Amino acid sequence: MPARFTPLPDYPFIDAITEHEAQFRQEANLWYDTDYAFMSKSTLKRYKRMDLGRVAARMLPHTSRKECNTPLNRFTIWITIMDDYYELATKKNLEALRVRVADLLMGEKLTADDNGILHQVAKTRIELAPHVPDRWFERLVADMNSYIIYGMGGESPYKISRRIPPLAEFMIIREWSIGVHPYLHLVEVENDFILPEYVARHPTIHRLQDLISRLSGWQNDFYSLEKELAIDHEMMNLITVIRHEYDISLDEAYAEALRIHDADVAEFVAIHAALPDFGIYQQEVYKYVSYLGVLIQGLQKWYQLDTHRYDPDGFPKPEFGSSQID
Amino acid sequence: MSNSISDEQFYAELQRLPKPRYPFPDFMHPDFQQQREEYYDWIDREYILHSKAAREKHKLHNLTDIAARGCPFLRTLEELRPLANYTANGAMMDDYWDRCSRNEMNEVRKRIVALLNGEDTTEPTDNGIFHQFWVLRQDAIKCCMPERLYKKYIDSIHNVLIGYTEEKVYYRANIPPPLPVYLIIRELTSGGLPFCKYVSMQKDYRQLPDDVLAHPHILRIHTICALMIGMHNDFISLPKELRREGDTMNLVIVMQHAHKVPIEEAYTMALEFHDNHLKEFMLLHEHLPAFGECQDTVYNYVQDLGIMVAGVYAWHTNDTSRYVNGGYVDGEYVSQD
Repeated sequence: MPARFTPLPDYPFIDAITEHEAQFRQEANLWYDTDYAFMSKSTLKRYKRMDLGRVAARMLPHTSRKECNTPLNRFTIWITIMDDYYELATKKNLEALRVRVADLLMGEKLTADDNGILHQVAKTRIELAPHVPDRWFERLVADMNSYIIYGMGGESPYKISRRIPPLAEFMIIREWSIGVHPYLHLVEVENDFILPEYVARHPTIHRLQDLISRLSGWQNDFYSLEKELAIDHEMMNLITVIRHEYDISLDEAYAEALRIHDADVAEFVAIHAALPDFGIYQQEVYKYVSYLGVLIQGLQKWYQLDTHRYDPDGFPKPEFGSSQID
Repeated sequence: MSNSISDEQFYAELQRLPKPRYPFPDFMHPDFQQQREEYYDWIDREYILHSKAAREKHKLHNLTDIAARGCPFLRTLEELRPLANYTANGAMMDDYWDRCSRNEMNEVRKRIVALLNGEDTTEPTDNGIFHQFWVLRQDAIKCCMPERLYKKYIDSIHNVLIGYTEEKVYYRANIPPPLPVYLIIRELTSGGLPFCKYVSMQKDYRQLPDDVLAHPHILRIHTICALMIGMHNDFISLPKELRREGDTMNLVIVMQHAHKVPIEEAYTMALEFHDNHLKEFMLLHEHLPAFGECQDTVYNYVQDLGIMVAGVYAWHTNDTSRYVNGGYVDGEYVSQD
């Protein structure tokens, strides 16, 4: 994408991509033509140009169990499509969605009413179940619930009323609306090490996860800024919010956003360097945290090299609840 | 450390620096005196492991007043008891095990958690601190604390104990942590999170659903409250902590270490940091998410979180015995590690 705003974020994390990247892309195309075929042709065309198969290939590049690649790729694509598809859904619709996603992730069977997105959710469960314990699914579902209620649901009041939230409130919503909190559970699968309960609930680990979620939100806001400025009704972008909060120019707001972003990176690095003593799990936990960094680095590379998601006309219209499907 | 006149002057200067202020009224539970009497009784019966001098000092601190000031609107003494118990025993255990190792603290943590969540139902016959945590669970059941709220309460006590465990590393090494690490640990060790959870036992707040009580917006407010309590404690206890080796978990000391500035300048930076958190609290209070028919109840709940912080602070400014020279109870437990 043309770098109208510079400098772009920079990370001290390893940049990697899986050797199975071709497989990731082929799978994605197959799913668009089958489970996702219920969506409009123009939406599917946009997804094919977005190269979503590259997202998991870059964010989770170290998956050692080959059979986990497919569910990780699958998860990445359905969570993205779900977020787009239900963008204009009401609170009641979102609650119904939340319950269904949670039930399917906990192993319930599909029904005739479930759409293709939910079919993909159910398949992810079946494919991951042999590799992870139930408590992992329970933790995933808890974060998925929060994402759908607070993240997907938190932005809509501002989008509908076209108001811009205060910065402090925005930061809380954005951390959840980006959808990365539930996604981070996949890093445990990538690392082939499911965090023991004591580690998974440890406030230091939570803070690191919060920071990665925030960072992915800020990063998304940098790369989607031009698209959002063009459509003129995006209220939920860090730069827009800062500009409104301090009544400053776009360039000044961009610089301030980058400062916030960089402070979060520095905080993440400082905590990683001073991890608590997790005893026999120390090495695995250290590696898990490194992979959180790889994830954010990989996502940046996808924005920079792979996707057309943020080009003019690259983004799909939210189809759920919309009567104008072409 | 020497106690020369110039030292005294130095500490007197520190005490003249500006202090935090809160725009919330402070209250006290009407049964505070009765709760104090019970507290003296706990100390005499349960804390026989401590020296006589330590016990008398603890009594002077009236630690249960923190609970009476933090949650002044609880309906009965029965409802105050589980909070007063945690407050007093949490503070006294922190003093007692001040100098134990991280591994020792980890074992203490596991045992207390098992007593609180009912995994271990045997009434402890040893060390009074463990016995008191067993009593806490019995008292919570007696006052009909909703299980959902009890679970949040003891999970947050568990986090306090994790904080006590992690701070040992920095105490032992006698170095302040980097600011990001301080923030994680201090949010826990301030003891403020269990108070935030317990505020929902007051008035009609127990009706608030989990969608409210676990909302990221509300959880951020809890974090801010816990940090403000940790920070205002740091301002008050600074002179004591500068005197004692190893008391490195203080925001002023962290700022001084990170920015290599004189102590007065570090103090000003720390106070500004605190005040920014207070501003964020006020803003989030005025910009609550849409909670439908609960909206007013949530607004009042957050107001009472502010009253809680102001109440805990009022204990610090009214209690003149804990943080003066010689008033503090030194850790009597001798580490076996």
